[in-house]
Amino acid sequence: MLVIKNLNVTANNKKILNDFNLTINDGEIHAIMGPNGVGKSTLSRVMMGDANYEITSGEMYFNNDNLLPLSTDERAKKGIFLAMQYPMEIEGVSNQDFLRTAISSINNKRIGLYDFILKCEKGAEELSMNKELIHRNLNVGFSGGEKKKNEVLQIKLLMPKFIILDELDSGLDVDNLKIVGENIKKYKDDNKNTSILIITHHPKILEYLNPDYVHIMENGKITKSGDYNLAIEIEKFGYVNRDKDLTEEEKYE
Amino acid sequence: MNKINVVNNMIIPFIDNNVIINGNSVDFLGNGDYFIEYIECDNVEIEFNIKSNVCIQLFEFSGNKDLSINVKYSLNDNSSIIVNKFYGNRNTDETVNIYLKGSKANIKYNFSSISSNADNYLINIYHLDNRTKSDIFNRTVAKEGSSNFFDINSYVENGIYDCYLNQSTKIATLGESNNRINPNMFISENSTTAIHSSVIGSISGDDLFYLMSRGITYDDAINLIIKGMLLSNINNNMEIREKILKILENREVNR
Ligand SMILES: Nc1ncnc2c1ncn2[C@@H]1O[C@H](COP(=O)(O)OP(=O)(O)OP(=O)(O)O)[C@@H](O)[C@H]1O
Ligand SMILES: [Mg+2]
Repeated sequence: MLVIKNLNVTANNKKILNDFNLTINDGEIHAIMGPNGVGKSTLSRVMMGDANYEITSGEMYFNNDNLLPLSTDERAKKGIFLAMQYPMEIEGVSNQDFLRTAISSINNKRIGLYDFILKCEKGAEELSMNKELIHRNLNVGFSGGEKKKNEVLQIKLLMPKFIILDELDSGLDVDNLKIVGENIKKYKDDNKNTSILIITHHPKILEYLNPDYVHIMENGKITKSGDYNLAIEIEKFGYVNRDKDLTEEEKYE
Repeated sequence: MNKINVVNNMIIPFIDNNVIINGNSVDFLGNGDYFIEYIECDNVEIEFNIKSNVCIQLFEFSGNKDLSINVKYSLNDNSSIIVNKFYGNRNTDETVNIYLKGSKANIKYNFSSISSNADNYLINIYHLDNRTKSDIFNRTVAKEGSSNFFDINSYVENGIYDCYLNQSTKIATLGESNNRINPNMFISENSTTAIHSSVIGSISGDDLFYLMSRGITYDDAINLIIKGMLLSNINNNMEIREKILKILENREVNR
């Protein structure tokens, strides 16, 4: 589904991604963990076509289509969705107008008002999300958790094939993380071929989503790959100490 | 809502117990909301007088070719007006004079526009009595190649106490355009509260990225942001929105 080969990316002359490689097949769930500032969000935005980043070399394919020449909206129409670490607040644009325009654009067909309202209400209910948020200005004054739920509502409405979750878990309390985790799990169960890339600092969200692979990213590239146990190891020992030999005691913990 | 049409620079007389029209002046004697449209106009002089203790809300619209307009708002004791105004003219030259003549007179002036060529606005606000209040909000979208000049002057003489003055002007640019905001507050009284802000800037790339990442095209994303900025500055309902969207659409077509 997604292939990234030797991708090099800079922003304002600063090198951020460094010969980055990643392949994600249909239906797979991958997680990327890594210290602050190693380029995780950059990777997610580059996949979505953020013009702030310059691709100096490398390749990126989605279902065998070259993504690099495509604009951001064209990539979204192919089925790529990025739940952002910091969703934008846009004054004057109502969430409802935004959602309806987005659904209509993705499906290339104007969605009827009644149909739209029904879908929104159902999605909001499943997420235990205050319905009033649908009528407010887009993300304006939303709490951290409300913003993240609004991102997940968009997943339900836009039905993407490839989902990138950039620190979806930050801003959500334990109960809401559970609700959101279960909603995404349900989406994945209903859409078996959907692939997910989870960027996170905490293994909790991985408990709900059960990744096939966990990668560690450092200095703009993946330096180690493993399974869920790698995430647990990082949680315990951090990035700096993880390669140190474990004491006998730690091994049996 | 009561409608007042100004056609070929003349106010079309109409019957309303609370309104007296005399030449180019409109006197409001009782509370109400009024919808005013400038149709086929190029040179308008108009004066709105609000009697003591009267509250008025105006919705003014103009989507003309070249409009030169001179508007006066005079407010007496304890009267208030909310002006919601939307312009999408090819060229505009406007002088607005606001006279807050009686104590506690209060104006809220919400102006939105989309400009394609040259728009010049001179807005003078005279605080002539105690505890008068003015809130002036201008929101403009400057299309490529347009120019927008705002000169806004607020006046408070010494001895006119406890007045409140607020000016906020924002121009969002689409491509190269020539814009200037010149806010002045001529205040010679210490008890005055004064606030002002002026912003000229292009539409945020991060906002556009967010909208486009949901499949919305560049043009549609720009449109959503523009409409949001212009409409949120104006008290609106379905009818008002439709009116504004129609003027916006015409501007797109005619440039
Ligand atoms: N547009 C930009 N211009 C300049 N530098 C940038 C830009 N975007 C990101 N960077 C820098 O690139 C590095 C990687 O940033 P990025 O946001 O991708 O990190 P991250 O791995 O997501 O970190 P965190 O875990 O803290 O979210 C940082 O040093 C950041 O300051
Ligand atoms: Mg990040």
